[in-house]
Amino acid sequence: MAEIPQQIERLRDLVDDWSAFTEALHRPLPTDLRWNPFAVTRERFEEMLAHQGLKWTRMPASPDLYRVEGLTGPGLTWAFHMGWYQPQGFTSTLPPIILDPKPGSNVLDLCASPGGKTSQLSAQMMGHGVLVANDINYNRISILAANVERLGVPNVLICSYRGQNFPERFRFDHVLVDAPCTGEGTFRVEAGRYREDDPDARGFMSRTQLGILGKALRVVRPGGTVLYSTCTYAPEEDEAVVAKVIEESEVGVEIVELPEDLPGSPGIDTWEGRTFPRELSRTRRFWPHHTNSWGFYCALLCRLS
Amino acid sequence: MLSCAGSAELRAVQEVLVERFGVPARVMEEWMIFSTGSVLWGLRDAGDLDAALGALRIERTGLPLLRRVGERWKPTTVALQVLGPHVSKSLVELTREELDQLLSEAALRGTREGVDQGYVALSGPDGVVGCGLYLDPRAEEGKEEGLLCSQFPKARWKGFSRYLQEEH
Repeated sequence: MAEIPQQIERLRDLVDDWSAFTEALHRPLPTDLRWNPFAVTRERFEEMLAHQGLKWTRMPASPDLYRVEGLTGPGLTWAFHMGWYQPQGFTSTLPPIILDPKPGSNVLDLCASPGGKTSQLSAQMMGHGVLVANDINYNRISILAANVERLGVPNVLICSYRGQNFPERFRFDHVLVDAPCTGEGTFRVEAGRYREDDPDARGFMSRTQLGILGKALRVVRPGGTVLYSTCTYAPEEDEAVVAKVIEESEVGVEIVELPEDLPGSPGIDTWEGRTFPRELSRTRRFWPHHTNSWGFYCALLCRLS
Repeated sequence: MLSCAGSAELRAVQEVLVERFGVPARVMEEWMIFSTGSVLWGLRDAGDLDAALGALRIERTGLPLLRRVGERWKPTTVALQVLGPHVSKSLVELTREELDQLLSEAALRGTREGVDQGYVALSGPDGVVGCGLYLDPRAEEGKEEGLLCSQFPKARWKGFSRYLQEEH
């Protein structure tokens, strides 16, 4: 077996089945497609998959997601160009599902590009309500806008603020912070996405994440919810960020229990000599050997005051 | 620079989408229209939109509905796709073979009864797929038959051509 990088190896004590975990890292990722209700009916979408001779399975925790066998280059098909689906990993669909915005609500996607989760949020809102998609990088805004147009998403306002500096003059019911991170959860041995362990990068990322998540808690209305997610296993960017933000927050914050039927394991309470509040066990770590998808972390926070 | 559409631009939306394509006015009332000069953008039913617009610097909004081409406003592909179920006029229904030919040759000869000269919505086996331009012989002196020209974005041609080959 090829070597597992150090930044993954150091997680050994956090993983329930190390052998299954590392075996999962050696498997290629499956192709997951999220049906786009703005472009085509579910029946017609399934008919298309069947007509193309593709086998698919539905994912119970993500009802609009189809795990498709035998499809290579999902971004090259006609159905992609027609906006019938968005290629989106299973765990990447979970943050919007957990946030669960309803039609008519005011929602902010604070780190929105390339727009997969933005379009999913809009679909959950059935295209009704204010959906603000923000990204600091102006070039990535073009990708976001192109995906919004391809998918026919009708209720998106696009902004380009630095997340930490997002204006506080408008209050949202829900905020999604799919934070920039070191991306350890995207590591697969065969994909060759090995990155040297860089503690400085984790430090930089965690400072950025703290600023963005802190801002999210200030722009959400009292009683509103913030979903914090990363695609990294690094506790410095996951539980440690959530614990620190709650500790320093000027507003009351509560960690919300996640649905029991989600795969994965509870957030951890200790790491390298640090102890986190017990409530962090209400957050969730999604491992590739549980989901056959990207590694992800999710925490749902409710602003109390 | 994004701004709320003025009366002339709202009139363009009325003339193109409601009067030419037959989209019911009540459907368009669900859309708020913005302008960046050469493009009119539509944002659907956005609740607290006014408050959001007053508080945020918006770079882009909603979907491009109409694009200015010379003196005319042309409907975008995405506008016709999204509003497709409501389009009842200037609609040209094509068979798979006709769509295939239109894509490969960029134009189809033949007079379309009941269709006026100008932009049309092209409808295929799965509903409205995009925009065409119909040149009517009654409006073109010396012409004996009509001509239907594709207005598909070139980047989407290849993908759509595969759709016709693989799906039907």
